[in-house]
Amino acid sequence: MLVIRRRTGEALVLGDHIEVEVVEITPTRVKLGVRAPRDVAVIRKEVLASRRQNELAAEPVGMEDLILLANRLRGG
Amino acid sequence: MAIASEFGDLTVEPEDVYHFPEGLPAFETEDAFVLLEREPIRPILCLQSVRTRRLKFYCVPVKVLCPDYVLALESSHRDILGLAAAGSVPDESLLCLAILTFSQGGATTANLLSPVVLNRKTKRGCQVVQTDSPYSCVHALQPAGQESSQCW
Repeated sequence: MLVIRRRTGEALVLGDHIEVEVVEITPTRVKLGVRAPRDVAVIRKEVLASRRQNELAAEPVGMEDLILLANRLRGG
Repeated sequence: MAIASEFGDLTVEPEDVYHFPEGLPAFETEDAFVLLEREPIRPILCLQSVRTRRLKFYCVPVKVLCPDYVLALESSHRDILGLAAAGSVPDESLLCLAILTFSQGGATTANLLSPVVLNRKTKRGCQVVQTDSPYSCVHALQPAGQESSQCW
């Protein structure tokens, strides 16, 4: 992994069209500003994981499986 | 209003509909859901889309899986849910649900990292994608009687 040191107000550039600026630094968090073309999706990594998980969870589920799990959760 | 669901055609009162201003990740245009309770699958609940019949998420209250569950709400979530100022204890009108994933032939998992949070008072909902969280988005459900109090 490429590691770059930056201060508040400094930026780095990805390719020709994407710029990432350090807006604010606190002891626990870094606030980043992203300038990118509209067609470039910018998304927090954990949101990406949730997207994938939601897509899987939206798949059809059989009523048998639901009742089986429900019985387990009820301790039956 | 009438909606079509897995459990047949249902009549839903407008006040039973939860509004999701931002939808859910991957389903951003789905902004209205109802929460269906059915005895045979209790404590599992069905979060049914009002707009799309085939879209539903089976959920379970996080406290069923993890009695000590702690939810971290950011101010943006509080705004969506119509909650008072940050710092106040999330009140009892909140319902925090882990979405279940039934993988074919595999283990069933619960998304404890990103619960769906409903405010029963304001009828608002959102999926809270937590950061710096000890919880997993694929929390494995143990066989009967072996539910672990460790949730991560």
